[in-house]
Amino acid sequence: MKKLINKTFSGIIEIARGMFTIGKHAFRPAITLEYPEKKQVFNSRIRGRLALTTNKDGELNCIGCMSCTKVCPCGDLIQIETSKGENNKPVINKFTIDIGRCIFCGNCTQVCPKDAIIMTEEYELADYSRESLVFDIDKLKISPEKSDQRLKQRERDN
Amino acid sequence: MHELYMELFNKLGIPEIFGEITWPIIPFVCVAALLIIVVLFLVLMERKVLAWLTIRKGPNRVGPFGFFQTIADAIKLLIKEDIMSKDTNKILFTLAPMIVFAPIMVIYGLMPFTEKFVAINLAAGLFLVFALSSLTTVGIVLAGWASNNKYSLLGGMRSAAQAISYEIPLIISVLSIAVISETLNLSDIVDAQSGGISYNILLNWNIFSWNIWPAFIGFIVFFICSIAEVNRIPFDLPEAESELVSGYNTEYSGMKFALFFLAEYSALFIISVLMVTLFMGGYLSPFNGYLSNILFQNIIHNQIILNIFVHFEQAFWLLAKTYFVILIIMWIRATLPRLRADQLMTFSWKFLLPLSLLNLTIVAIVKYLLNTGNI
Amino acid sequence: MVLENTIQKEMIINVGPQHPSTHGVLRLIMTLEGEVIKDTKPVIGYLHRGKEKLAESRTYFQYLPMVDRVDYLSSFFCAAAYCYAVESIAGLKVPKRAEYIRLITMEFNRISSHLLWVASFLLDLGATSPLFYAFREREEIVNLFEQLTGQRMMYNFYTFGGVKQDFPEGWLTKALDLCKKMPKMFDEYEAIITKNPIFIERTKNIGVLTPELGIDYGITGANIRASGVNLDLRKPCSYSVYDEINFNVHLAENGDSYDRYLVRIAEMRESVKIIEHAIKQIPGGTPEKLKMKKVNCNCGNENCGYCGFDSQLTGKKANMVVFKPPAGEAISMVEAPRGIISCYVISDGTTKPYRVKWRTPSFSSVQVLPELIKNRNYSDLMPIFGSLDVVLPEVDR
Repeated sequence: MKKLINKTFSGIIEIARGMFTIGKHAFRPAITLEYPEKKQVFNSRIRGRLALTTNKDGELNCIGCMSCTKVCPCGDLIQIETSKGENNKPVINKFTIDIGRCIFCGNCTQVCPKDAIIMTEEYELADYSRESLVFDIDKLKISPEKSDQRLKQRERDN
Repeated sequence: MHELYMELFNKLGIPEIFGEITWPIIPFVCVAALLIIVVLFLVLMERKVLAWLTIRKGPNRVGPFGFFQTIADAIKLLIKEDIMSKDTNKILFTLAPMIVFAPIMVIYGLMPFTEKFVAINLAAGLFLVFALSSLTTVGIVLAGWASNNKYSLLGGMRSAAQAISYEIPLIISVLSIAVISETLNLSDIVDAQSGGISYNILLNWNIFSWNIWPAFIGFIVFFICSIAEVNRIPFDLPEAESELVSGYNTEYSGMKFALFFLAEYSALFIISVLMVTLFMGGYLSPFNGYLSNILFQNIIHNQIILNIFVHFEQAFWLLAKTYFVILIIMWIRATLPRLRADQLMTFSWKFLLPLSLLNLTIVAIVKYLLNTGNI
Repeated sequence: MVLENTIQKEMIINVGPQHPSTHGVLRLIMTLEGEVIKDTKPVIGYLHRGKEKLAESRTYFQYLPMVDRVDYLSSFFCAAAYCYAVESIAGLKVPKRAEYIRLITMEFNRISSHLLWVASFLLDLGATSPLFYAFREREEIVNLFEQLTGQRMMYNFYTFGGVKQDFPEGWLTKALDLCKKMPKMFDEYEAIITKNPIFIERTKNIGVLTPELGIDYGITGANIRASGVNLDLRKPCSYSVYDEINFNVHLAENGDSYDRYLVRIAEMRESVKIIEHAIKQIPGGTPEKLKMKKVNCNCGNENCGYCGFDSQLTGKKANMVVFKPPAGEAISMVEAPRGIISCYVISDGTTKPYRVKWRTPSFSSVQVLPELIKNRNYSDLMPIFGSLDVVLPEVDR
């Protein structure tokens, strides 16, 4: 009997303590981020959509060494076609990335010897069809200023 | 009121017979409207309160502060496809939500929301309230059986077992109120709680003559049992989400699910109103007399208008107390985990039942001594 | 007699694969008599992605991002297990600073994994609020990971011979701040949960895992430590730099669900201490200081505290395209939040591994489940299965 009364009272006290702790949270600010209106601020290491950098003349930095295709875990995700132009300079005819299958691991950006392929902050990539998620050069290319800024930022961080 | 209504028909030139026919319908229309409004508000309140307690923001997209969120949800439920799987018992499946919902709606009519706003004022109102509230269990068992789903069946069975074990302590604890008030009429029970304990100032406040003081243990038992009665955490075994998916309403969708939903929340409201009526002075203000009487008696001399003010104040006090009780029930929902079925039975039979009997004994002895004038 | 046979007392019920509390897609075929569980058959494989077979058609570096997905709640541990195995085949030495970075990230990952466990366990029992509080803390840890690695879940941060990047500026201060804040948060959970009479009723003496049964089934991690078996790979230190750090292994006696909860809470507190300790004695100190000293020092000495081997991020940098470890085989074991993750790699001297085999702790935990819930109430399924901390992708791989 004494045990039962003890148990009852300690139970009531513990439940009250729990309720008090929960009640305290009612006066704390909400941690919710109202997403479409407010967006999270990312730092420069964020691994978002892939992009191709350009030099000052607006040409691709890519030299067509195919390293990125060899380290990509998703098989034929990156497809590059090159041909030799004047002065044996490689010309990139085709560079497509299937963003729909990309796992954003960052292997391709690490292996690239010329920092030609980088990752941007863009992460809202939803679309209505799989075909429109296959990005070609025009969609992947970013302006010289942007690529310059992005590369400098990366250098500063590492 | 009846005369006023009839006069209206006379003035408009409509035969009096129509007035006589429509008169009895009015209370039910009022009750139905009240029920819908209450539920719409209650769902929003629950979501907001839970959001505050769990450091979120809650619904805030539809209307100001998400005020129309529940209306949007209701519309969505109404236009949803009504799915019925192949081997369900179609008649019982359709009947079950109605059996759950209808008795609760009748209970709304029995409740004294103010001195005059009682749709059905019965001499044995208290008795009928409990008779009707146990009917909902039949509907839940029926829903579980008719769904042809094993989870639903388990949910329905649990609900039956739970109802049997919880109605008994509930009713015994209410019995003590009947002993104190010497009546089963709900309005009379409220009236019996007015007047305070003495004629001195402060001590004549109504709050001191609430039934909660003599029957405090009974109040605790009633509170716990009423949470079990409306199937809420920690006693939400019939629809235990992590175990039985959604219990008896797993297979329901569309309007039928909406009826279950409506019944659940209106039951929560009505059980809180009942708790307030029985233990916390119902529509009475906690002070001596009504505030509007004291504040406006020098300004407004028309007795009828003053009476209307008093009615509004009574409704306010009832709602304030009710929502306070509901807030605590929601707070408990945010805190506690769920009990197991057999633990629930043990708790009910071995703990609550003796406690409610103890309460009845104490109340009866006190009442006897008071009546014979020994104290 | 005849009548008794015709009445079917038992009911077969399918829990899952789509069920709110099977933590993914586990299917349990249960035979119930009333609400008492008579028999259970776990069916796995709904989340099978062929992680072991995939390795055979990919190079070592191509497989590296995939190991994070073996167990997405403790990615760092899987990556560490794979890296340690490949390093021991290839004979790569890991610098001490890299080991410390690995240790700090792994311990943070342990806390975040345990936090998610507390959240889902309590949700299974019916308490909703701790879920949101646990996610609040987890969010801060995940934010730290995101600043460090660039991703919130699949980090791909470890590489053979070290780690890919150093801490960003100010990361260590933020981590220390979080470490200071976290024990208070654990106190709050304990105020809500630990002594709650309903929680104790639901979990005490439920699902008792005896040490013998646990060892027979190969249960590891917090589950076996709750039964009183002192098995923690961090203490004898078979990997990383745990021997340089003081910490305790927490044990319990009864091996029931409640004890498993207590052990995990204690482990989270211990992990916070480990992180604080590790941050204090990381070789090279903060990244800002290290960068400055490195420029000024330039001594070229192997044992230098700033530009020597121990303050590097990777030992010998492996070429990602033509990385070719010599033929051989190696096994590595890592004490993950759920138990011992071990990775067995066979190399035949080409760029692709010949075979990769994972041994994951959740697999054993699922196996022992039928033993634990036999002849118990159906409601006991959640406190028992929840407390074992099973993550299904890890079972199916």
